[in-house]
Amino acid sequence: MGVPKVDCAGSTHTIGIAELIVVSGKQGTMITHALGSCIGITVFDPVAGVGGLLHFMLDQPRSAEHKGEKADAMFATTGIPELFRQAYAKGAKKERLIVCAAGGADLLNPGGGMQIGRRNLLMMQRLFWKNGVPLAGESTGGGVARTMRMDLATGSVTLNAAGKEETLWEI
Amino acid sequence: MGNLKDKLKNIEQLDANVEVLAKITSLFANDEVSSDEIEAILLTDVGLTTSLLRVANSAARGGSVQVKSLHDAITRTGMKDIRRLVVAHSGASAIGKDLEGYGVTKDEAWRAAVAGAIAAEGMARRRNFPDPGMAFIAGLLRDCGKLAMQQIIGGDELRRAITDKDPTDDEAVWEQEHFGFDHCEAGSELARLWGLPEELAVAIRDHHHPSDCESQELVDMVHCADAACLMMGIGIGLDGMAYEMDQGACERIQFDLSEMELIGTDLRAGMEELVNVVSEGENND
Repeated sequence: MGVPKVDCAGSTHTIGIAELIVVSGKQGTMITHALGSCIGITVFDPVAGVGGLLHFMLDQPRSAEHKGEKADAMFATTGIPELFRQAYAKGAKKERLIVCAAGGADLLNPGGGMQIGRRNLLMMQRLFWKNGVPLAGESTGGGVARTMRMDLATGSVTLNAAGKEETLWEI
Repeated sequence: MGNLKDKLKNIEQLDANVEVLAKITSLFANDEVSSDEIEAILLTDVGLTTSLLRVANSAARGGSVQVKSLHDAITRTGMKDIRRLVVAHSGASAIGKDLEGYGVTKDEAWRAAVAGAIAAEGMARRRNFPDPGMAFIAGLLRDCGKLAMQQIIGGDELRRAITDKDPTDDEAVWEQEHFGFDHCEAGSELARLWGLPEELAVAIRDHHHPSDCESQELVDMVHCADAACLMMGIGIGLDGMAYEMDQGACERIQFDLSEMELIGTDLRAGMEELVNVVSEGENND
């Protein structure tokens, strides 16, 4: 949690919980580890060469401390609009954006518990539906942790879930 | 249980630094602890002293004059943060180890320990729990039994068994059925062997099933902190999210989504400093 980390070569951006990053230049990779109930969203504009990744933790702010926040990456309601705002500011266009999502798993408690993963998923779907944003690739729900990686040269998005590699989107 | 105790006595000694942890725990149980007493303990550990000086001189502490003495470092850092640092440093030597049998790296095991500690302490403060520092330690050590399980069963064997496990089986219940004891029980016995307070041993023992416990508030907080970490993807191993959250615990301490948010804020504020200081300190030891 804090500021996304970039390795010494400037090629790997590691995005932690409640963080987001948007870059241009089609170089390197973005990675977010172990999405549990949290959701990772990647955006990629192949023409503008803009890529971004958000790792949000909860659907919306509830405590007085966070109500009124506009750009906090902790929440879907603030982080998702901020991800798109930052991508547009770097030249991305909505109609070209390739959007993928992963995460939203839950603990065992069937039908009970806090269902944070499910709440996150519903809020994300609601926001995308309302704003006409289709998902190009999605791996959500269940009970596994997922690590999400985007190659900024091609926009391809891969997942590692329970030791298995999966391609979420590629050209 | 006698069997488990014997097995624990026979495993490789986990670390001598736990003695520092036990001393600090008992010392801080008294609110009137003096900086001289703290200094005396800190002086027994060079790595710890180095870490404290680094924290005291960090930009986040805002001092313009460089602190060189341990006494000044204690004054600048403040008792609350010293306790966190000392406990984290001592705990890291004992539990910040690779849990390959569970599919958790050393770094991730340590991040999970620190996150659970900060989460439990934050919950304790918000509820005016009499000793938030005890909640910090309980959160930090909650899974120390995993290290013991790994040493007793063997990393490879444990890994094989967990890989074959039904992913919908709760981790601790499955361990109990499969091995005759679980990491909660093993951790609790370890805490007793280390000479830590009984309150901590109980919190570690019941942190997966807090409704089984008679003295509940600390156990409930550690349970919810543990579940919160998993939901945030911290410390997830081969077992994924095979963890059943105790609804009774959530209701008793009114753990809800607002609190998850506050835990997120607590971690954002405190996690990196503890994780980094301890790992840097280790490198310098």
